[in-house]
Amino acid sequence: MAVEITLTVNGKPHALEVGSTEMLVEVLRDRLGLVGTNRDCAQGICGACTVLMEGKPVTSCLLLAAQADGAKITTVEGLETGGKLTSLQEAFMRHGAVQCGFCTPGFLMTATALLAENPKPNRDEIRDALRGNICRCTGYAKIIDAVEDAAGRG
Amino acid sequence: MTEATSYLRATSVDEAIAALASQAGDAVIVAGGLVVGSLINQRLASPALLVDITRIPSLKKIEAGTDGGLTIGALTTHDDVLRSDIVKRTVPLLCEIAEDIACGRLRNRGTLGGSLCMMGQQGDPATGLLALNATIRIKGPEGSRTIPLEAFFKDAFELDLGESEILEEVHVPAAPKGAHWAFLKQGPRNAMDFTLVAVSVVARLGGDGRIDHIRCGMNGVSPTAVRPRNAEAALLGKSPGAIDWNAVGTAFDSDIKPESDLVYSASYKARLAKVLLRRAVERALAGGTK
Ligand SMILES: Cc1cc2nc3c(=O)[nH]c(=O)nc-3n(C[C@@H](O)[C@@H](O)[C@H](O)COP(=O)(O)OP(=O)(O)OC[C@H]3O[C@@H](n4cnc5c(N)ncnc54)[C@H](O)[C@@H]3O)c2cc1C
Ligand code: FES
Ligand code: FES
Repeated sequence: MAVEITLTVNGKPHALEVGSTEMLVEVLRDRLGLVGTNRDCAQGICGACTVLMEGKPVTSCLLLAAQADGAKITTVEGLETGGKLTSLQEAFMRHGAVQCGFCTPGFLMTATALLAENPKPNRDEIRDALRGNICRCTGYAKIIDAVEDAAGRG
Repeated sequence: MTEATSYLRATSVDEAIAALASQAGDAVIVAGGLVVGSLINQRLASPALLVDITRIPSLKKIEAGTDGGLTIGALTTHDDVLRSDIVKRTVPLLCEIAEDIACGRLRNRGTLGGSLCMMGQQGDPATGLLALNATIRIKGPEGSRTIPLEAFFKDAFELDLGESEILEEVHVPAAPKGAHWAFLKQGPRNAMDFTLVAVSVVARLGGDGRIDHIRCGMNGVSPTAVRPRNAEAALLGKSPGAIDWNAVGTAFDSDIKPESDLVYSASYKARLAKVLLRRAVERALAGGTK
């Protein structure tokens, strides 16, 4: 069954017909071409598909697109403004917090929401906020360093 | 794809119930969708109808009750619980439990109703609600009924919930005056894994220094969340220094039916549960938290 929905993704409105069992991550990637959001486990475990819905991190592989009707979604493509990266993105580059990069969009979205709510988190708070994102490359230390650094400069 | 599946965004409980009733058992309620979404992705669920209840305003509430207790709507997310001043004030145990569930992005979507209705692996909040003697209100085609949460969990994959019924809200009575509580859980990792064993304890010492109130809720030790009544009986009336933990353990063995899985043996789960139960009881008796 097709369900008609509207979404505002990175500030841009979309009217879409989605399948009843289609997940938000599929709509973002396959229909809107926003392939920054990754899909890996599809079971809520890895966090690669994290996007912001109304400013809060959500797991887009488990969110029926139909359920997101009317929502404001931010993906990793929506972080930069006019080609300028956020200080968090800059910090990820500076600290080598990106290796293969598969997990990076998820970490960036989670950390963006953290800094919006708590601009000066300590390391434990950063670690706790990132607990739902898995990285197989970096060993996490550089990611935590980057978030801490971005918070310091923010 | 499962395009044969229809989708309904219900706007009232009655509309949702009517939709469920019209599909004679081939409809699935979707709240936060963490469990349902995972089943769909794994092609383990392809119902004729998905009934989305997230736009039903009456299911979203946290209200202080006249009895000093609390009423929590089924659509309340773990994050709502965590951030609620009313919950923090009246039943802080539920905040402590919510704080440790999965991670932010899952707490933002996962609901209390979904956690109680997810079949088989009743999550962490169930343990606290059992220890707090919660009741639940369920509505179906024949109207509403209120039952103790304990009676809701019948057996493995068996809830006291009809095909066309919806869990509307949970009522938590005020804890006995002067009672303290503790919550402990153990999983493969601290974050992101389903809990292996969890225990909540609400206990109080009487004026004579003996336990005059104790109620526990546990998961991971039986096919469904349980209240270990025999262990509670073995603890009641004892003073903290004179608890015979071997006797409590023997009583506890008759409360539980742990099952071996691919990773953990039944005997390991039973041992782990006993350790956690003891620590939680001791923590609560030592003043745990108010
Ligand atoms: C990676 C991961 C980690 C997790 N970690 C934890 C953890 O640490 N602790 C923990 O406790 N839980 C954990 N969970 C379980 C988590 O999914 C639940 O706690 C969550 O609250 C489920 O709610 P939901 O609204 O998403 O459920 P849904 O998937 O929407 O629904 C679950 C089930 O309940 C039914 N249902 C939902 N609402 C109602 C209602 N009002 N009336 C009748 N039936 C209803 C649905 O039909 C479905 O069968 C985890 C889940 C994942 C995916
Ligand atoms: S792809 Fe969504 S959590 Fe792994
Ligand atoms: S950089 Fe490779 S998974 Fe994180």
